[in-house]
This record gives sequence, structure tokens and C-alpha cells, in this order.
Amino acid sequence: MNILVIDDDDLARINLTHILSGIILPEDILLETSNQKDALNILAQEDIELVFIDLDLEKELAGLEIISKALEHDAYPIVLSGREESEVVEVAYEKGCADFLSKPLTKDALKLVLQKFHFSKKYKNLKGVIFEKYVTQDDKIVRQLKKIDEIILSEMPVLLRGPSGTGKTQMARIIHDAIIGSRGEFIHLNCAEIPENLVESELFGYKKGAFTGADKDKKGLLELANKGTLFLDEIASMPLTTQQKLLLAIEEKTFYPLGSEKVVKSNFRLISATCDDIEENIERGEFRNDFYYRIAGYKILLPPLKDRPGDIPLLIDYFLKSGPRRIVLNSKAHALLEQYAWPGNVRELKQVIGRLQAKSSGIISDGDIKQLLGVITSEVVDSGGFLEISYDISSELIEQVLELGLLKVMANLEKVIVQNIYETNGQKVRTSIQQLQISTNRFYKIMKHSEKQEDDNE
Amino acid sequence: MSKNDKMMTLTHNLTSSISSLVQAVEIIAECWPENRELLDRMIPLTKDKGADVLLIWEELKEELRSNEN
Repeated sequence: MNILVIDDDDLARINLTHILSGIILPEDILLETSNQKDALNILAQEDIELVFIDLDLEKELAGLEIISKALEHDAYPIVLSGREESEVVEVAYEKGCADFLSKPLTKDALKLVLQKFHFSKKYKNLKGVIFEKYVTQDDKIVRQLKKIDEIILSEMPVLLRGPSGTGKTQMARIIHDAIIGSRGEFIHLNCAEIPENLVESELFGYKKGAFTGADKDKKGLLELANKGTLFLDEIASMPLTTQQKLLLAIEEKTFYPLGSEKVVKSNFRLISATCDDIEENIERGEFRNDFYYRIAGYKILLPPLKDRPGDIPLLIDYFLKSGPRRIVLNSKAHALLEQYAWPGNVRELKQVIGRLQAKSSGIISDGDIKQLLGVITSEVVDSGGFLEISYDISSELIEQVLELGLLKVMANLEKVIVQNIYETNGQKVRTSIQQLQISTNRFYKIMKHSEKQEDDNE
Repeated sequence: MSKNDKMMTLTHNLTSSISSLVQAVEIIAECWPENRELLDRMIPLTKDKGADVLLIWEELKEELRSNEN
């Protein structure tokens, strides 16, 4: 890659080329010039991909004219200036500069600029990338994802919100690939899957002898995520004390493993995800306000599938084409899939298509769909994307409601269903939460309530 | 050029020159004494930049005095 630096201030130009030479690849070529005429000649003759343009050359604002010339030659123009006047910045952006940066540039700022350049080179059409990796035509999501440019340039953490199955983990991966790529690890921790007392040792690691059972040193996930991404799924389940310690680690980029007096440095990009209403958790004192504002630098909301029905046919086609076996849906089968509410969101849709692809017949009928969705005995009515399912209510249940009241019976029913699913899943919390389609907090609340009742009965 | 514009330009030039000078001194310290070729290019430019800073500073002081009057 050829890079051109244009600055009439010899010292500033040497400073910049020296710093650049330390961060570009050995095969990259750095060219430099101090005047507009030479700059235009180089742009015309050499295959320049990236150009740093000082705004004030022989005459004031001469750099502005170079921006359009650079674009004509497919170069990526970055303006450097000590000027802060907003009208100058505006004109530079109007002319098409990719970035306007204040002089002098630091090594970190230049690294970010190069990252953004490589990203934009790789993905000239951001919407195309989103379609390629995260299948959607939903404008709200696409608009939010355009923030990826900003996310790359800042070190702010990202918070992904949305119900279970909307692709938060996949989105975290897309962001990681775009920003970090193969230069660092993607470390994934589901905070709801490990017991509260083990979260800290997982995150921070420990020294041998730090606690009973710590028979050797263990690196924490924070350390493993150095130069990469730490993805904390179900972050609402994180205990308050851990939130406080993690807040410090995010701010200071350092932490102490359990039982250690030696500080460990780790420069990681934090991405968190939740399907809970964290604001509500804050009000209930279950989540720290300061921690929330620290992790929610950029918020990306992934709405449930029922709120973006336009994505359903796209996803059906996408998953049908992604398997090794080709199957055909008849029109009624297709319509049923499009009308279904998909409470388990994209994950459920993917599973259903996967199961259809495993069927012996290659032609899928509406009967196959009904059987698969478990709605054969239910009356399926399209009512704005929701299913109305009729139940056989026993007289015993009606009597209980009349005796105890609807709320008590419903609470009991909720408890029985949750416990049943939990036991059926071999006491796996995450799987149960996904199947029940409730928040982690709600799950624990119901379970705690039922434990309390059992204790009271004993 | 209005008085205000002139003050702004001088301040901008001064800040920009000092920043450039500071960065150059950091690079010289980092490369000392191995990278002789770079040092030979940078040291004379650093001296010139130092002289520029003093000149701009004098001009800025003059401007401030004339504004007071």
C-alpha cells in the first residue's frame, strides 16, 4: 500500500512519517511532499491508497483542493490541522475527507485511523456487510449498525440489548471481527451460566492457594482478552460486588487476580449483552448505575422478530440456502412460517428450518410446519403476528381460581412450569431461560420464591 | 484581517508549533543515539521550530499590547 503525507511544515511531516513507519506493514511505502503541486503529481502517478493532507500549505486552506483530487484517484483522504473553526471542518467533510484530525497526531490516534481505513477498504458498503453477516432489512438495525465506524474510532464499550435469540452473540462477533479481527481473542462469558461465587475467579483469575481448591495459578478471562474482546453475555446476572470490581478494571485497564498482589494489565474491548430491562434492575438496586453507564458506551438494540416481520422471509430464504440439503416449502407452509410469532426469535427460526431440512421428504407442506411448531391441536389465528392458542382448562383449575384467586393460582402455575422445565433440562439455567423466554432475573426470582416456599413448608 | 482573526491565527500557529516541537523532542529522545540519519534531519529543524515559536510568541505579545492600548 502506498501512503502519502502532505505537509509544508518539515518537522511536523517528519514526526508523522516517523510515527507512521512504526505502525504500518513493512511492505507499505511512505511518500512525502511539502507542496500542493508535487502532491497532485504523486496522486496522478502513484497508486496512493491513503493520504494525509495538511490543510494549510503554501496558501491557507490549499489542502481542501487536494481532497477532491485524492478522491478522484480512489485515495482515502485524512485532513490534519490545528484549526478548530467548525466552518472549516464542515467544508473539509463536505469535500469528502474521511476524517479531520487535530495536529499533532499521536501513535494511538494513527492506529485507530488505520484501523478505520482498513475496515472501510474491506467493507465499502456497510449495509452489504450487515446483509452478509446479520440478515436484516430493518432500517432501525441498519441505522444503529452504521455506528460501527464510531465504535472503531473510540474505545467505548458496546451494550447489545434485545430478547433471547435475536443474535446478540453473533453481533458481538461481527463487531469483534470488524475491529479486532485476528489480532486478538474473542472471549465469551455467560454470566448467568456460572454460580455467583465463581464469577470473580473466572473474570480475574487467581493465584495458587487463593481459596480452597485453588491448587494452581489460573489466568482470568480479562487477561485472556488482552488486545481482544471480552464479551459478557447476560450481564444483568452479574453480582453487584463483581460489577464494582469490573468497573475499576474497565477504567484502569488493570486488575488484581484473586490472592495476588501483582497487578495485571489488560487492554480489552468490552461488549456486553442483556435481554433484561437494566434500568428496572437499577431502580430495584440489582444493578449499579455507574457500572451501567460505563458499559453502555454504544447501545445497539436488536428488536424481536415479531417487530420486524420483513426480516422473516429473508431469514427463511437465508437458512434454507445455508444447509447442505435443498428443500422446497409449499406456499401455505411458507405463509405459516411468516405468520408465526417466533417467540424464540432468529434462533428458533433457524432450528425449525434445520429440522425441516432433516425431514425425509424434500417438499414441506403446511401440515409439516404445524406439526413442528406444536400447534396441531391449537387454533391458529393470525392476529397481527401473534398466535391465539386455546387451552383445555380443567374444572379443578377453575375451582382453585375461585378459591384462591387468579393471581395466586397463576403464580403457582408459573412456579410449577419453571421448575418442570428446569428439571427437564438437567438443571441447566441458560437452556431453561431460553426455552421459557424470560429474563434471567425473572427466572431467579421465581426459583428463589419457590425455594422460600419449600423452606417455609419444612 | 481583523484584530480578532489575527489573534486567532497567531494563537493557532503558536499552539501548533509548540505541539510539533514537543513531539519532535520526544522522537529525538526515543531515537537517540542510534538513528543518526533521522537525528541529522530532525535536530536542525527542531532548532528552527524553536526559533519560530519565539518569533510567534513575540508577535502575539505585541498584538496583546496593542489591543490593551
